[in-house]
Amino acid sequence: MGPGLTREEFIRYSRHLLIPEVGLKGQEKLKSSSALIIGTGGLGSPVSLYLAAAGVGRIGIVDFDSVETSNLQRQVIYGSGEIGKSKVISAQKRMLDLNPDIQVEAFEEQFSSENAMRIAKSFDIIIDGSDNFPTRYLTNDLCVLLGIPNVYGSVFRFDGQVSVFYAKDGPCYRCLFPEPPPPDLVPSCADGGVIGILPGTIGTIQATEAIKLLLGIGSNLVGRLLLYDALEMTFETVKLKKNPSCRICGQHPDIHELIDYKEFCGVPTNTIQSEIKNELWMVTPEELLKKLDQKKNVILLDVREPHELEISSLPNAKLIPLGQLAGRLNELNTENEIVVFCKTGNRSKRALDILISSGFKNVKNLKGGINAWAKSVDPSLPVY
Amino acid sequence: MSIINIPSPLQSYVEGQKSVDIDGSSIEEVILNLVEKYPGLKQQIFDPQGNMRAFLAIFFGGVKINDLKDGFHTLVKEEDQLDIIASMAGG
Repeated sequence: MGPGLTREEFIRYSRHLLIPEVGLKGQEKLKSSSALIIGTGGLGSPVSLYLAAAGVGRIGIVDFDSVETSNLQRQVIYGSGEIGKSKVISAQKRMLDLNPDIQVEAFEEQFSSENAMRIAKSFDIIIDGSDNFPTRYLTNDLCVLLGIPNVYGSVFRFDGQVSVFYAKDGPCYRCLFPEPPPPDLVPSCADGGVIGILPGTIGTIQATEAIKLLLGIGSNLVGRLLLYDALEMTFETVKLKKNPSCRICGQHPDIHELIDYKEFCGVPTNTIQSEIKNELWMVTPEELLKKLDQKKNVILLDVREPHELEISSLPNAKLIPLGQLAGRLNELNTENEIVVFCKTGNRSKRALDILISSGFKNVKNLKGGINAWAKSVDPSLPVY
Repeated sequence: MSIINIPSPLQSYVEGQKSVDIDGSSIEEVILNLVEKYPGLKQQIFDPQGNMRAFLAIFFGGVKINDLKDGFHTLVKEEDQLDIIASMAGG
């Protein structure tokens, strides 16, 4: 039996009390439930707001970032006045303003193998709103080991994915994606962009699934992956099955405790990639400026997408988007010194991999990309 | 020709298209013809040993191909759709 509702809560939750699937018992169940939200960014914003509004009794939020101007296009739990302030403290304040009857625990720390068990062990459910692969695998493994559901959501540009990974009843995240992509192979939202309302839609679906799971009602997304295309406005679901050879929930698991997820996701797949991380393959904006001032014959190779040229560009740079590079290598001379750049240096790292694999020796990656150039060499260019 | 739906993170490797039409009588043949037509995709879909990368999943008729009886060798016919789904970390 739940903790009972106060008179004020009867009014606050009256629209829930009217639904037969929720009712008084359901609302009391929510009040005695707990949920942990990993990341209070684009997905975490709507999840935090809706779980707080719905009256989930104890909500944990984990994030170590501060609010930045570029967050506000989608992270609707924050306002302009919170730029530079702690995300979890700002989110906690907003959630308690929305619903002072709940308990909000703010964990202002980077979610890691070292602290994950301590943070998560007393929660009923985890909602994954993280923005990187190591945290996604950590969250998955943690949920499998704790035997609790992982309400998964992810976004990129106009595409969203949602599922409930619950190894007790169905597949886990590793069953679907046994391994992460090699570092930098799949662009992040910071490199590829995301339409601001998309995490709102996906996060709201995650919150819906979380509430249903806590109430024990309806059909959830265990064993199904929901794919949302906001551009075409389509929803599709595909079936997911448990992978018998899954390393954590399969028939012969070899992962029995949390591992080093940065290493799991970041181990270079070949020697070239590890060498590219080396400073020897880097050129700073200041060093590039010196080279250009000395009239050295340097080819500037821009591997961004064509529409990004409208934002900023370097004079005389040759544009070959990363996706076309492998098929257009004949446009480059292996003898030339080539400095590759993108927005922040991630895509250009992949480009370097392709160039070096194809026999180019004198290539360098502009450290920090054109944004770093704009900050330290040419402030007339916008940083985006 | 089969229709292959390309996930957003890989669309830049197929000239920005959301889907491409590719010949082939089995899923394997269609995927191999896909990377032949768009060489930039090869490194994204296959690892250096030629195995399909584990951050991608291919679905046929809403079912992951690993869960199909004939897996990669499943036969496909004109206008069948394949969905390539990529893991995305954005949040």
